[in-house]
Amino acid sequence: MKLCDFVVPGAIVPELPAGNKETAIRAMVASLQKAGSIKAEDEENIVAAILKREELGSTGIGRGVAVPHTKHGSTDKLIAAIALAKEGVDFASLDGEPVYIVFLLVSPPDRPGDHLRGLENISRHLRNDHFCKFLRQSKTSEDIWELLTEADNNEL
Amino acid sequence: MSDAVIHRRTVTVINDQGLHFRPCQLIALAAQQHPGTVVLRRGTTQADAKSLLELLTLAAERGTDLELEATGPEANVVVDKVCELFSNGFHVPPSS
Repeated sequence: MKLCDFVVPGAIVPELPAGNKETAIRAMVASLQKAGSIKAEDEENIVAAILKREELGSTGIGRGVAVPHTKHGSTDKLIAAIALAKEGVDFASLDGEPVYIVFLLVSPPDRPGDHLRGLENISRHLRNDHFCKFLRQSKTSEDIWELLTEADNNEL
Repeated sequence: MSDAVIHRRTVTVINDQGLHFRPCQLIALAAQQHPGTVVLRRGTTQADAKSLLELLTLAAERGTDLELEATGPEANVVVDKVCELFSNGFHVPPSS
């Protein structure tokens, strides 16, 4: 599985408006809806499910990254949105630092393996300092897509 | 002398959703209590069990066997704790 297999090109948000964890999650789920990956009537329900998951423990994993996620029947395949927050968002991360990169995942409830492989893929790339640095420096959706492609091809 | 002893055990993922975010978080929290090293291996992939990011790279589905290895003082304690997490399915509901 590659990043470009599950990141939705139309759901890349190169600059999140200033806000908090909830506004960041709302903006990213809205981008998935606008891209046609989830139905409008499911949008609020997905936001609520992701926020509920965050209550169990923050998905801020350190290195300025968070991976909010949920399993939801509105999709039949793993999908992801990516957003950058230049000013940082307080995600109540384990290391107490703000979050600058957000990967938001929605996966079908009956495909736990795909969800694990998506997390594996994202985590593997996030261990690469070049990937994190170049991602944070990206200004446009096109820049980010190009970076994902390079990461998929091990060109970083 | 106990520092030199390596404690090893095979653990099996028994929960339906596999080693997803929350189980990895619980393993990391347990491992971080231990002053020595704690490692989980899946074949040739090795993860520092104190690192959530590394644990997530194991992508271990239900039924996967992993090698757990700890060194340092009272390494048996952390091995017991991590084994208990695996054997009780991480105390988490399947939807999380």
